Amino acid sequence: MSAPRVERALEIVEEIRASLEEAGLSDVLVTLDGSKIAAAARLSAGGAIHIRPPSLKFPTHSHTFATWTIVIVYGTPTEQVASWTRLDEIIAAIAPDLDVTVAQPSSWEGKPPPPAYELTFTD
Amino acid sequence: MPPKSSKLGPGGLTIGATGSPREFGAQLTKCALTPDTSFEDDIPVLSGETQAGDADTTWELSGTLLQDYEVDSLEDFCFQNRLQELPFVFVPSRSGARSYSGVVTITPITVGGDVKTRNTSDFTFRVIGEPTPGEVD
Repeated sequence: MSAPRVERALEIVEEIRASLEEAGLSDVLVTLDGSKIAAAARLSAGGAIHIRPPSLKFPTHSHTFATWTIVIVYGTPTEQVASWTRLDEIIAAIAPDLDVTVAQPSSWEGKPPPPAYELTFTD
Repeated sequence: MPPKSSKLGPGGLTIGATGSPREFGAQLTKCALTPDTSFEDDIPVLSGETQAGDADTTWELSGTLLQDYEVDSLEDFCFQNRLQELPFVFVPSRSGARSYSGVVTITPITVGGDVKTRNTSDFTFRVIGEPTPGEVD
């Protein structure tokens, strides 16, 4: 059985971890498991990155292009500056190596919803 | 009779002399063999009848390919063979029976485009004379 997108997702996890470690941000959780995000995104933790399944395009019969969205989550809306600062540090650490094309402010599920950023890039 | 309709592909487009043809198909997101027919004005004659004007059809082979920036890329092939007349075979679908062959004049195509983007190049090659319908081997 071949699952190239899952294999690629696991590679992306490792690439992001390496970038974070180089930037001194190794306390950020990088995971494919969305259920682990809320706990790791608290102000008392380091932040969390969720790798979502990519959207796929098949422009020819032999090519597949995957567009990935990864979500960086940290903090709380009541601590906007602290949250944004950490999110920005994480973006600065991982965006260049991933060849990110768009980073869009967002939020994660929760009450209150934690601040987040959605980063998009295409393999 | 039920309607019939086919999707384009999986098929192929080979260009180049026998023995060294180059397969374009894997890089193409679009491929078409297109006629363009022009008609000269009809000529009225004294009897009241009309002499039909001459008609002429020219053909072109066009498409869009994914750029790859390698030394053996199709962009490179088009540059190396610019203005050369080379034979082609276009198979719209290997599950169908029809192929089209002929000779085209290769022209150079665009290299590059937007940064951080999988760029494509459009090409339009003049067909010399008319393509010849054939059958897929």
